[in-house]
Amino acid sequence: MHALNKITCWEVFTGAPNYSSDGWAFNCEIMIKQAHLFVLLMALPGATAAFAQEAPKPEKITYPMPGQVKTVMINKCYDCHYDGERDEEAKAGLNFNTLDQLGKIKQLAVFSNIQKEIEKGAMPPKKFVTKYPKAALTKEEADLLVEWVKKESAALLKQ
Amino acid sequence: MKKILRLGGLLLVAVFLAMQFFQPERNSGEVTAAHLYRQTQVPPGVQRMLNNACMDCHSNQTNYDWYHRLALVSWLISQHITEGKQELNFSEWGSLSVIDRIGLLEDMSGEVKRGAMPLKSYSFIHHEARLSTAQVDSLAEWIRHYQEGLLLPVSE
Ligand code: HEC
Ligand code: HEC
Repeated sequence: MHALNKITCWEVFTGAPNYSSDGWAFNCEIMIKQAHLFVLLMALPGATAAFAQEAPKPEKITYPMPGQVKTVMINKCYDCHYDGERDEEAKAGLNFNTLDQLGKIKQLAVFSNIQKEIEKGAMPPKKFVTKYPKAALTKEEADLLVEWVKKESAALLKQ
Repeated sequence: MKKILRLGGLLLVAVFLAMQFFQPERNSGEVTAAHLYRQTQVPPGVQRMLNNACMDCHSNQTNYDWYHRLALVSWLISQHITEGKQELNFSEWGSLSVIDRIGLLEDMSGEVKRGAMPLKSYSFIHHEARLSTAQVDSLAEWIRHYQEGLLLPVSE
């Protein structure tokens, strides 16, 4: 009886259709509830870890920028544009770990490229965004970055 | 069998000839005041290098050879010109902001040093487009000089 319940319960769980209602339905409901609780408990540590990892790591970008801008850069750009990146071209185009040590000309060049890439919708790369839609910049984020980059380059030019 | 081959050959020739009617628009615009050379003093040596290695794809004035008129080649070249001009057009240098000029100059330096520009397919055919290390260095030096000049007068 018990074994039978389990089997049918699994069928209910997975959406298999034909089952009769001779007493096991109640058990099944409890089992499903227990299963949900179990899954939730198992997932909790993983979820907290993921959450902790997603918290901003502002110390990684040393070039001074407003907090909001920094948060977007860290969440949407940093992981492909720092010392540890293996794609040399990405690192050559923009490296947050060395940005503040560059000369004015190089910094201006980087900013001009950041603006262009964002306005073209080319960063993060299309392929990456297709695979991970959440990686895309929202319109607000794109505007925020472009505005800052423009202001920052104008200020640099006047220095 | 022979007949079929001959017919097939004729067909190919016909298709090739028909293709010639579809010529992309030529990239032969007037040189205006917005051209890089009219915007700043570019030393003759650097001009020669840019003319030989870059201007065909990065300006409104392509120097066509006879075979560039042949379909397939003409289509490919037209594609390169369109894409090249999107990134960098020396004929419209004057419309760029100081910041974008500095940025593009930096990119030019980088692309040439990496050997990514001129495109391999181009320098394969155009021997004079193959830049020596000395040429690359002199281009980089002129670029640095020009960039520093752009920083001096706060023009905006
Ligand atoms: C998934 C990895 C990835 C992410 C995320 C990413 N990039 Fe890139 N980035 C690259 C790669 C790879 C290149 C080099 C190849 C290219 O230009 O497409 C690059 C190149 C660049 C360049 C140089 C372009 C040039 O032509 O000189 C800039 C500037 C840039 N990225 C800015 C950004 C900004 C700003 C963000 C965040 C909005 C960002 N990237 C997010 C991978 C990434
Ligand atoms: C046969 C055509 C051709 C020639 C010749 C050529 N380019 Fe390009 N160039 C292109 C095309 C196409 C692109 C855009 C696609 C790409 O980046 O590969 C481009 C892109 C560029 C870019 C932008 C790269 C980036 O991603 O930021 C620069 C800078 C550049 N070229 C400089 C040069 C310089 C300097 C020369 C001469 C030494 C030169 N090119 C010669 C076709 C050409």
